Amino acid sequence: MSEISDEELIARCAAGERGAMDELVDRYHAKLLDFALRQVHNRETAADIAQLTLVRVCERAASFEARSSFKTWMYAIAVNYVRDSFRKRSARRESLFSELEDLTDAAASSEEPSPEDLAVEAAQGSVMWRAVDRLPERQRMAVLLRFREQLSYNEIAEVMGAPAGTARSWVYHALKALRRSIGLPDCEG
Amino acid sequence: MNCKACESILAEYALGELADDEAALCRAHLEACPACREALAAYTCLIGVIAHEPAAAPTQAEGAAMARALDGVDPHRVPARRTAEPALQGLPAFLAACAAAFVIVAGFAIAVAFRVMSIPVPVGVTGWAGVGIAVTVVVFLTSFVPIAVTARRRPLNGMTFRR
Repeated sequence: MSEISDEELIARCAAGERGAMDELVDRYHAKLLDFALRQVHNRETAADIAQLTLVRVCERAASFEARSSFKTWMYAIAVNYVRDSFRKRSARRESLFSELEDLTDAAASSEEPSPEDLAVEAAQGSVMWRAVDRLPERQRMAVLLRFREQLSYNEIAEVMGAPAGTARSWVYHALKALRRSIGLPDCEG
Repeated sequence: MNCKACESILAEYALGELADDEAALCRAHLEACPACREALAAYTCLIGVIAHEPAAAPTQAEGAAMARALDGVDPHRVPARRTAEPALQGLPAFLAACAAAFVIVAGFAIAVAFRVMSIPVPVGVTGWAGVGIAVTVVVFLTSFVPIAVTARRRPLNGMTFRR
């Protein structure tokens, strides 16, 4: 069923075809889990968000009107669940982050990595991903939707409920911040 | 093209998404500007890492939970009009605000009407203002409250996790 478009798949879901729902899960469960995990930094919450999103997509399949792409619609649902989880757990999240930062600081101070170690780590992308985690929420979502999920600026704008120019600006500032965080200076001119 | 303009479209340039004329301008600037070439190299690397890092795969338990969750899905059971949902979510609060405003305005209006028409009001309760407010409270209870309660009872986000 892999040659079927998302739009056709969602139409079959709307008709109650379980095989189409399973195919949708095959296509997007991992992507949604990954997207949510990079936002909420908690496996259990991310799994819940991915599950709720796919269940909602299947339940509301009949309401998909193809005015936007299927991915835009699905990620808009996922972003709403991510934001819900931020709202519900903001206090707990702050404490989790401070604990995480303490652990990171402790690990960093226990042994100073050599330049070679840093180069290897940078090559593996872990420095960069930590920098992504530190981006403001909207910049992080925008940059992941842009480059990881391959959405256009118009689609990101629709998913996040903002003008396309704002979405472009989030991505631009995120890239600049990431670039600084891996030790490259800004352009002078 | 200056560095700022160039940097604002470097990501699209790196992805090959620019129109030919814009790409040519960007390329010309890059040939003359080592700092922007460095930025392009950094963006290419960043975008590559973000795009190609393998996604977190669902565990067997998460896959099984997902399958169980889908067992309960019935697309025919849910109304198709998704667009009504965001409006409904804020409906009770909106109705409460409307009702509060209505009580205040109507209370004064009715009280003033009683006063202008010189209608005798029962003395000893709270005077003419009390009668006006009492009438509007009755109107509120018989019109707005049932609507608000009905809206609140509708399951808007009633899905549960299935593990």
